[in-house]
Amino acid sequence: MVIPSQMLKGTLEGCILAVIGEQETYGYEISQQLERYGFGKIAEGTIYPLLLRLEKNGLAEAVYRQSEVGPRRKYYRLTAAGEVELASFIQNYRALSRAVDNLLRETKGAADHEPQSKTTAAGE
Amino acid sequence: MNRRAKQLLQENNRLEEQLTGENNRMMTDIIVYLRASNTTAYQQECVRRDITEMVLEGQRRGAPMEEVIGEDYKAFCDAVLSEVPKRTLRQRILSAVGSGCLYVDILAVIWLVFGAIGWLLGDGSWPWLAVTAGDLIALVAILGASIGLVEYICKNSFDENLGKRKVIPVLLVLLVAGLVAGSVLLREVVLFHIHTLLALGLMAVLYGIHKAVEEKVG
Repeated sequence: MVIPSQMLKGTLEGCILAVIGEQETYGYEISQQLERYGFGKIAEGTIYPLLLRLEKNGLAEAVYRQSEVGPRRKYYRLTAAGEVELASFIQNYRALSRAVDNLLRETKGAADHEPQSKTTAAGE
Repeated sequence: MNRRAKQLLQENNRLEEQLTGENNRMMTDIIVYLRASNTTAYQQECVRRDITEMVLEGQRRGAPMEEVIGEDYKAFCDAVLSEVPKRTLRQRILSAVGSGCLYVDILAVIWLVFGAIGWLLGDGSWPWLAVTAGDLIALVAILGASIGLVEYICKNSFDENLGKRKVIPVLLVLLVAGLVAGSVLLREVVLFHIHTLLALGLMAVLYGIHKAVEEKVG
């Protein structure tokens, strides 16, 4: 199944916050992690502007570290404000998820659209 | 461009030498597009460093640039630029003044050289130089056409048919027309005379303003 990019847009930033919240990490690793969680291939070009936004809003901070195998990497980690924002995202997303679940359970959505076995989400 | 932006620019130039030919070509389009944005040179270089390192990392693992950046480079640049702090109105005005001083200075050097050539050929009254209406028209036409041309090319750097567009020939015609008007048609309409030393002094002041503004705005 492909996750439409419009659907991803509202949640990707929060998901990136969650990934960074686990450990200090860099763009490509974030895209790899997201793929592992089932988001499909999301280009670093999609993630980088979001990382810039997190940095601009003081939710993440970046530090350059030399890589052993290639060019320097820009590693990101959450700031205290980022932790607060992540907690807020989790709360909001769970509320949204519960609401959508409830709606689909009581409407035709659940019966008509069985989940497919193959899950391939789309980046942009 | 101030010192720290220049330093980063040099680092980025060195970094880009590691890119493959195709990636380098695409990076050039991206940089040209970034140059037209309403951000400081330092911000542009910061973004350029991040993107170059991203592409180099992809290159190392054998991923083509489209896979790293995504297929729409322009959309990528727009998304990035929307997250980069914009120049304030004050910075924009200062930047325009600084650039204007530099452009006028460059044209003034050319004008001075032509004045010296005229003197060597026995035409003119050195060390006094005549500023004609043609000189001013040529200045405005050359500046307008050059700035317009650069802006147009930068903003359309991803357009593969850029060379076929009519805007470029129109701007070039304007440029040539300005030069012709300046050098031939209105050469005799003298507005005032200026001493060569004073002209050199004014040029030095313009250059000083340009450098001071550049250092301030970044």
